Amino acid sequence: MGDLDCFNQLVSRWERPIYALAFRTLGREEEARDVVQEAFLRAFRGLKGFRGQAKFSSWLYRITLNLCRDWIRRERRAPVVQLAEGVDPIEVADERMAPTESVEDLVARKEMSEAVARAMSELPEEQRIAILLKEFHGLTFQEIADQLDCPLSTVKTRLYQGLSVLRRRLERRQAEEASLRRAHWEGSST
Amino acid sequence: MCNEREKLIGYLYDEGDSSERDAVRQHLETCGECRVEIASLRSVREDLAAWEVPEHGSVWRPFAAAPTPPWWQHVPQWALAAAAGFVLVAGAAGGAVTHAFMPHGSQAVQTSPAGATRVSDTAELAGLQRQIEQLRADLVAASNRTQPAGVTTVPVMDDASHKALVRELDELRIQTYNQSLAVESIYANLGQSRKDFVASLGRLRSQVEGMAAVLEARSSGGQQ
Repeated sequence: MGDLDCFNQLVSRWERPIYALAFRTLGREEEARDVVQEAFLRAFRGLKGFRGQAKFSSWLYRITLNLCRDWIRRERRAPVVQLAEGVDPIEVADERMAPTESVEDLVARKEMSEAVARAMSELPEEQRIAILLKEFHGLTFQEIADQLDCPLSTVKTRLYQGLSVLRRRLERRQAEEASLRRAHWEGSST
Repeated sequence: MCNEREKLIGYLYDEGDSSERDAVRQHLETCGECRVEIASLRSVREDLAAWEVPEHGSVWRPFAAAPTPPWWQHVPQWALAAAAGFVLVAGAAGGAVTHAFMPHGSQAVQTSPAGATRVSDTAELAGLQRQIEQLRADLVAASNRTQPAGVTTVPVMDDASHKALVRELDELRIQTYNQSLAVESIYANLGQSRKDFVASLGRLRSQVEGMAAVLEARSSGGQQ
């Protein structure tokens, strides 16, 4: 099996997680696609220099994160929460609905997803990336420290601070929603 | 313990030293504040799990082996440009030497039609320009040609990688074109230098003739 075949197999194995990392870091689908494409191109070009001293996935994560950071610095903007224009969440939920899940549950899940995305986008970049690597990619504290070139204790601090801020924002959102619902019911009852 | 976030995070993710996790577990039995803290952090983790990535198709298509380019495509662009420059300089130098050693005494000038020397220069210039055009066309063709003629390949790259390669190719084309312009510029400078050299030779000749006339006049005056 040649280098190309091996590489294509690696790509098919890692494409989805790498796209997920890029999307959650940038918040933009199109840019995430570009980053994934560029990450694999760079990985292929650097394949001969990759001696296997680290895991292939770690190497790929590092390339992807560097590209994401470059993009954020170049564009000088924080990630956004990309909401599809003109898309009815109920329709989307209907399309994705599992047989055991009601439309209301799916709409609520989608709204929760957007709320989490929004809260994450407001976090400082280093806290956001630490949470992403831990929660969605299952890296150990040490692996995250290697990715971010920082001490292990810093990783734990960033995780703790990031999760604490997220908790406050999500609790505030839930409180606002409850308030809106109460106002809606009171308005409709009078 | 209550202020040691690192230990709480290690406990939350069930990672780190087991004795440390045991210590946190024992602490949680007696500390209501830390129990609330751990519970709320777990709740956030559950909320995070709701964050979905939009459905997407494959953003990558496998590579295909590139066709092997002919040997001359391995020659660097600068070497091609240098070779082209060398041919031009050698041609121009040959022309200059020929021009210098050709008999162009008074007889030749008298028997030649008026403006014959300029016609010869113009013809030489046109020849050199044709060489430049040919070299430039060869360079551009070399950069355009990515695979042997008559060979078809199945497109296996998606749009993004295709665009990236096209961008690289375009850059190469621009580089090649700039190099051909540089070659033309070298030739233009060479032509101008040649003209300046001929003009300075003419001036020197006049000066020498003038000095010779002065010397002759002095010597004839001294004799008288």
